[in-house]
Amino acid sequence: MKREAFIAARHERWQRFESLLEALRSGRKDAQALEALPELPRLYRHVCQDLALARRRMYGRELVERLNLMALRGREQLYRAQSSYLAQVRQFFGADFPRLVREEWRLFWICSALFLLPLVGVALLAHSRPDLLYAVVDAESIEQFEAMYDPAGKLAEKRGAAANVRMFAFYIRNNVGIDFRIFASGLAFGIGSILALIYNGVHFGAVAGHFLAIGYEEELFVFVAGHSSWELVAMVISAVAGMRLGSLLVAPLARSRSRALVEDAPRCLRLLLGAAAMTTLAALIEGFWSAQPLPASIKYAVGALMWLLMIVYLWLGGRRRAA
Amino acid sequence: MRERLDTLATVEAPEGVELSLRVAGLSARALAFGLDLLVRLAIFSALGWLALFGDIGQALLLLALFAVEWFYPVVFEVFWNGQTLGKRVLGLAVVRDDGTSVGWSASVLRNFLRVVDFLPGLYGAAVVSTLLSRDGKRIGDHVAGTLVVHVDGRAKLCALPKAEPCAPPIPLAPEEQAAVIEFAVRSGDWSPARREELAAQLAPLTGASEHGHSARVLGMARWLEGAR
Repeated sequence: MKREAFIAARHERWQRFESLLEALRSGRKDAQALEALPELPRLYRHVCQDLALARRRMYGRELVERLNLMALRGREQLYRAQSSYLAQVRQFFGADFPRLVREEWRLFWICSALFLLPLVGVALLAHSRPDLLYAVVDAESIEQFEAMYDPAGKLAEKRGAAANVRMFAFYIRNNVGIDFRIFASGLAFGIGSILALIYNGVHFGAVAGHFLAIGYEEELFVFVAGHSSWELVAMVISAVAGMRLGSLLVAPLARSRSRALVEDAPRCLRLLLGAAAMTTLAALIEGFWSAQPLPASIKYAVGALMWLLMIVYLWLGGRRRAA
Repeated sequence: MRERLDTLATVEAPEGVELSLRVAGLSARALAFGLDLLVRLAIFSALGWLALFGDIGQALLLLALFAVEWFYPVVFEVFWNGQTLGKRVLGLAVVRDDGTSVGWSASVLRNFLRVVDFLPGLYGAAVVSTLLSRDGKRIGDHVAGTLVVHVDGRAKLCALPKAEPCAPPIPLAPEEQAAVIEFAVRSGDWSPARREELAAQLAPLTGASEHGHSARVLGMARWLEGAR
């Protein structure tokens, strides 16, 4: 069969297929398109067959390309995944995420140590030498910190409801962004995540030690008590996700490195997603609760409750259905 | 031959046919990125007035900044057939390695890893990776298992250039027939002199004198297509 006869014989069918695809792509639900919908798989198979024939018989670039494009689009429509978002979300936060974290318990403790050891070490150092903070943080930020946590200042009075919303937005952008960066930089063989953990440990340690030394610690700890659990652990989990990503390059097991990445990177991303949700929760608490002018005892109690909740969630979440 | 010369990635569909994807190169992708950058800057400046509306306005501004910084490409790619605005203008789209459309996971991975692609500055790692990779993948594409492909070709079936159909003097093998037809299809892209120069290499086949090589080759292409 010559090329032009081939085209003439199939032209009408291709046009129907193309208009059906166009209707599906644009999301228009016109009656004519819906009527042709049951034909989609059959039309698609025909186009695949036509493509193979056109290639084999060398009908030329233009025709092969047009058929190729039609087949690609048809395939996209036919094989696109669809499932209920809500069920997926419940499954993920109810079970999958805590399980993922527990599966990575080794990395989790390694990352926690990489964060906590510098924190404690530098805090002790900074306690004995308050000026150490100036080596880590620039002077302007320190002034801001000190003004913020000055026991004489009225932290809460400075923040109305609207300011709470603004701070919440600020924490989201800042802290969730930090999670994303810790994760992505982990691709560099995990080094980026490790450095970020140590840096944050040193930073927090220096601040905490400094405030202990100058006697502002009460204000600081009352403020961070509520959200610290979710925020700090979320940062560690982001680093776990980043290091797991880097480990795919260091030790891809019996796969090529690119294969290992393509297969396992989505798993790392799910860890990051959970961590980002935890950080969002922390930002909510930090924005709307942490600055409330309430007695220290209540703030500490809520803080302890939050730690307990988080530990129970990560430790027990998704265990029943895992059996 | 074709795989080596052209930037084509092939995937095999379950229907037993190979589909080819035209992989986008560095320049097209860089242009699309530049356009998206402009769009993002435009969004940022359009949102700037929010800062005037006190704390709530600033809160909205910060949330919007966060969303645009991290999710601008993701949302477009997931909901707009793998195309951001810049990619749409240049006729590019992001697809999975097997040619199907990207979902949240792949899109988030490839876009968050811009942090690494950006290193050591100005997307240095991405440029190197794109140039080294056979399928023009930057690091984020490798991790997410995605490709950036040309999808603009709603390739119109153009008729071959007019020429007097003439039979080749000897039977041509299928590959040779294909070469002749390809010549005809692409002949519009060259200057007449260049067209003639290329066709002149087929002098033994065309048997034409000084000029008229290309006309004979075009004629053969028409004949091979069934014109008489």
